[in-house]
Order: sequence, then C-alpha cells, then structure tokens
Amino acid sequence: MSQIIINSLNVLLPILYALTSGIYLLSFYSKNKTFELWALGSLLTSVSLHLAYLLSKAVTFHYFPVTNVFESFSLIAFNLAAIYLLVEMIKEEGKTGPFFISLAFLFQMISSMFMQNNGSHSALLENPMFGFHVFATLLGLSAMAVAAIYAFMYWMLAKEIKAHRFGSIYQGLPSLETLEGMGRAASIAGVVSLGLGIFLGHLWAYKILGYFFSYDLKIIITDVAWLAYLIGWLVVRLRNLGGLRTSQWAFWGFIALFAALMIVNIFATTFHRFS
Amino acid sequence: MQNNQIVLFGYHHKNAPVELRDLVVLSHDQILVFIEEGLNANIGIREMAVISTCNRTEFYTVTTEPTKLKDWIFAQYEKRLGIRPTDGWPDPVLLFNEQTISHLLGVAGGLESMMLGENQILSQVKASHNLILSTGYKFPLLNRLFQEAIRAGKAIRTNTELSVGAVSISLAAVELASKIYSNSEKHPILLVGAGETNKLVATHFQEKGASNFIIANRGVENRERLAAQFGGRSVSLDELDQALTEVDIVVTATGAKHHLIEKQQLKAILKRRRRGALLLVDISSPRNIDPQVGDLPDVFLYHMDHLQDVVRDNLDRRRAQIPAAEQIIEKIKDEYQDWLKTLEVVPTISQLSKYFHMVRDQELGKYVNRSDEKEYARLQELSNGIVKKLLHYPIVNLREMANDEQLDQSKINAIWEIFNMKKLDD
Repeated sequence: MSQIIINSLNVLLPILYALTSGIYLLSFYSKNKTFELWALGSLLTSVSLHLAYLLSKAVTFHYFPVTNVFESFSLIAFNLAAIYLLVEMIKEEGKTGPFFISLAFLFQMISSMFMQNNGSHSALLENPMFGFHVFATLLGLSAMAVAAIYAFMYWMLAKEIKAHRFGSIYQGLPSLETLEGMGRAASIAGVVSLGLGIFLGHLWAYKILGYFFSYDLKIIITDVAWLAYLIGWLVVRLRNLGGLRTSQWAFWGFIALFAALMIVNIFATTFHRFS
Repeated sequence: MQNNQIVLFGYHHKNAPVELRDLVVLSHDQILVFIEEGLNANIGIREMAVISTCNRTEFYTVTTEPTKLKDWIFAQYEKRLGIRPTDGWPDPVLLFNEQTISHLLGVAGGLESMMLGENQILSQVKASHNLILSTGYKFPLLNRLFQEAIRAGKAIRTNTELSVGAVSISLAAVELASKIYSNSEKHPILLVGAGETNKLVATHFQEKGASNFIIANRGVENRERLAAQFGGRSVSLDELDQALTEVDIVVTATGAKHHLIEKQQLKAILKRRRRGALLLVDISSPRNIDPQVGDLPDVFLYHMDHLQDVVRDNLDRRRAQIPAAEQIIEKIKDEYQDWLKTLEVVPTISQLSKYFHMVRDQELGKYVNRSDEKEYARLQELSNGIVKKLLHYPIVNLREMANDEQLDQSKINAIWEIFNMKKLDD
C-alpha cells in the first residue's frame, strides 16, 4: 500500500510543481491578486505532499532518501520549494514564485523520471541523526541558492530601473527593498540550517571517528562558506549595508561556493565518502 | 410601466468645455431640490438621480415624457441658479434606455473619465446613489441601476488593469519610488522646491503613507508653509548636503537655472550616507540634477522625459484594457435588462399571489369556529404549504417567460381573465 502511495506521489509531484509554476507565472504577468492566492494554495499542497512523500519513503524503506543522485534531486526540489514558501509567507510577496518553483519542478521531474526506490545504500543513511545532518546541510545550501537568486533578481531589476526600462522584469518583480528583504530572509534560513547541519556532522564524526574535524575538502569548504556567510550577514547588519554591491557579493559568493563544491565532487571523489 | 424610459441628459468633458461644466455643476443640496421639483413637476418624471462633478453633470431620469426633460432642466437652472442657457451652449448629451445603462456603467468603471480608469469617479457614483437613497423616495429602477454601476466599477478595477499605473508626472514619481522601496512610510523624502508640483508630489506620497518630509527651498515662507502642511521639516538650500544624507527619495522641482546637485558633491555625500538605494527625481526645467549623477552606484536618477515615458506606457496599457472592461459592462447591462423585463410581470405575480391567498383565507375562515386552536394552526400550516406549492411554478415560469421575451400582453391578459383578477381589487 505504501509503495503505491510513494509511486503515485512520484508521478503527481512534478505535475503539481508544473501546475504551481504555471499559476505563479500567471501571477507574475498579471496584477490580479487571485492568482497569487491560488499559487500559494497550490504550493502549500505541493510542499505538504512532497514532505509526505519523503517521510513515506523514509518510513517504508528505513533510510534517509538521499541514496542516489535522483533521490537527492527530489530533496533539493523540496528544499527549494519549502524555503521559497517560508520566504513568501514571511514577506507576504508572491511575485517571485515562478523563478523558484520552476527550478523545483525541474529537479523533481528529473528525479521522478529516473527514480529507483530502495537501492543499495550506506548504513549511515539508516541513522536518523545522520539523516538530519544531510537534510539540514542540503536545506541550508538550498536556502543560500534561493538567497543568491534573489540577489541576482535585485541586480537585474536595479539595472532595469537605472536604464529606465519598464519591461516585464520591471512590471513583474516586487520592489528592490522587498527583493533584498527576501534574500536576507533566505540567507538567515541558510545560515541557521547549514550551521545546524555542520554541527550535527561534526558531532557525528566525533561519535564514529573520535574527532570533531577532518581535513575533508568538502567539510572545509562548507565550514568556510558558512563562516563567510555568517560574517557577511553580521557586517551587513552592523554597518547597515545594502544595495547593488551587497547583492553582487551575495550572488558571486554563492557561485564560488557552488563551483567549489562541484569541483570537489567531480575531482576529489575520495572526500566525504563513508560507504 | 411600458412608457417608462431611462433617460440621460447632461454635459460632460466630451461635449462641453470646462467653463460650461463649471457653470452647470450642482451641490448636493441643489441636486435634492432638482429631484424634489422634478417629481412634482407633472412632466412624467418618476425617478431622478444626478452625478455632478468637475467633469460631468448628468441627470439620470425615469420618465414617461422625455421630450419635456430638456426644457424643464433649463428652466430649473434659470429659476434656481439664475443661469440662462444660450444658443452658444453645445447640445447636451441625450441618451435613452440601453445607451443610458451602458453609459452609467462606463462612467462608474472609469471608461468615460477624462483620465481613463481614474478611481475617484466610483466614489462619486456611490455618493449620487447614497443621495437618492437619502431622499426617502422609492426609485426602484435607478436604485438598481446605480447598484449595478457600482458593481461594474468594482469588477472592472478588480478584474482588469484599467486603473493600474500612474498617469500623471507626480504620480509616476510615486510609482517609481514604489519599485525601489516596499513602502514610503519609513523612507524620508526630500522635496527641493516648494511650488505646486512638489505640493502635488507630497500629497501623492502622503496618500501612500509617507510622513517624513524635508522641504528645501530658497524662499523661507513657501518652504515653511509646505512643511507645516505635510508635517515636515524645512531647510534652506545651504543645508541641502546634510539633508541628502538623511533621505532615500529626492524630488527636485525648482526654477533654478543651474544644477543643485552635482556628481562629485553626491559622491561625497553617499560615503557618509550608508542608507542603500537613493531615488532622485528631477522634474525641473532646466534640470536641477547633474545627469552624470545617475552613474553612481545605488543612485537611480529620473528626469521629466523618463516620467513622461512612464505615463505614456501606462496610458497605453490602460487603453489595452478597454475591451475587457467593456465585456464586464456588457454582462452587467444584460443582467440589468433581464431584471427590467421581469418587472413587467411583477403586478401579475403579485395579483396571482393575492388571489390564491384570498381563496385560502376564505376557505380557512369556515373552520375558525369548528376546530380547536391546535387543529386550526395545523390547517393554517397545511393550507400555506399548498398555496406556496401551487404558486411556485406559475411564478418561476412567468419570470422565465418574461426573461426570454415569450410573454406578450395577450398571455398576461389571459391569466388575469382566467383568475378573474381584475375584480379582485373591487
């Protein structure tokens, strides 16, 4: 029975994200507030069902569902949608939805197309604490990705306003101040979540390896990035910084982090492997 | 009922110059006098409502003798206001029935306004509606028509973008600010110049919630007057640099022949400022802000030409919404006309109901003394139910037939004759 539910949700989720993206797109191009309400309702449904999907998998197969790249894609899709939902609800602004939910749709569609349930996996993934470390870390990185996208939107809109162009970006996006606020909310969620993930990771390392820190490139990069984000956030707050330069820093900072993690994943395959 | 016509008589910005519109404008008290006199004039006026604003004075009437309307209204103007219409006056607008309905719905929707899609007219239509309600007279046709007009006005503003976007220079400045700051409330605004333009800008910002104004001007009296009006602070032009460090929005509208804000000057100010984005709107001619200022990071500079582009784009966008607004008007007009048709059968339905209830009361009366209280109550309940059921289909079908225009006078007469209803009132 639970397998049927999992398989059904596997098919349903990309459809729901596609539908939600579509409504958000309508909302972006229209001034009609009804679309924003529909989009929010649709997103709430999608995220709730996605959470149910992930939990069902964890309960049915007794492991945290990141055993392969396609399961990770589904978790990334969930994280992007959930972080965006949180930011939208905090800032009460739904115009930026299409940019995030279409990404969530893309990740979930690829995941659903190639999904294989209950494959071989590391025994570590059967431990809830380890699972939570993975979840919090990925959630933190996703939140930082969301913040970077907001920084990019700020950059684009600022460029349009400066150039006196009143096209669809100018018409559709909310104000620069709102974009900055949404980016900051996502950054804070990222710093908190990634911090928790890193802490749990170090705790887990101590538990099984006997030491808190190892010279694992992935760990070093993540720790340094987290520290950079924390310092950056404090500096912005204490010195009351903002505007275009800050947004450009936030954007390029995430690109650097993403590139570093990609390089480590591709070329240094021995790092951070436990199986 | 058949002779009643819904007639519009009036002047508006499309057929009358501003001088004439100013002349014929009526206050609420004067409108009440016109309504009172009109109903008592014995010229067939059954209902009357007036919309009178700076752009239109329109008399909406339900009358059986529309040809007498013009002379009577002109006579009233002469008698009440001492205004004698002359040959030089343009022809008034005279519309009948369906055209009047469409016109009023369009007025409420902002389609007939001088500034397409403006919002104020809807409040003015509501005020006219409230005025006829306050007279104490029953104006069933106009009451319903104004209700539908208000509904159309709201629907157009909700479902189309006819009222979206600034269509004046001062409003465009406020709209620009809203693209940078989420609300004007917490952002200080510096107005350089204390003339009418900046007064209008301040008014629009205030409507959006702004309350923190600094007014900079050469003349002390004007700047202090404007500062007092908007609860702001007034500074001299010598204090401009300091004021620029404190604000997020600057609007310049002065007659100065030179730049009041230069690039190097602002660059130095920005180092001290640390407040994020700065919006500069220059609506002076010649310009008061060095155009190179726009190259500075986080500075958004707009001058008159840019704002005119915003206004033009917004007007184009509003014009593109006209077909959607007209669809809403068409739908509501059809609903109103359907309702009008059902009114033709109201006397028949009411008489039919009266007849059935009379029969019921007569038959029930025979049992008043032959049954106890409890039994009689049960009989009442039973007979009520029977009458209700017997009347249901005739009423529903009569209304539907009226709606579908299948009900001619011969059919109505047949019903009256079958039930002998003409004698009912005797």
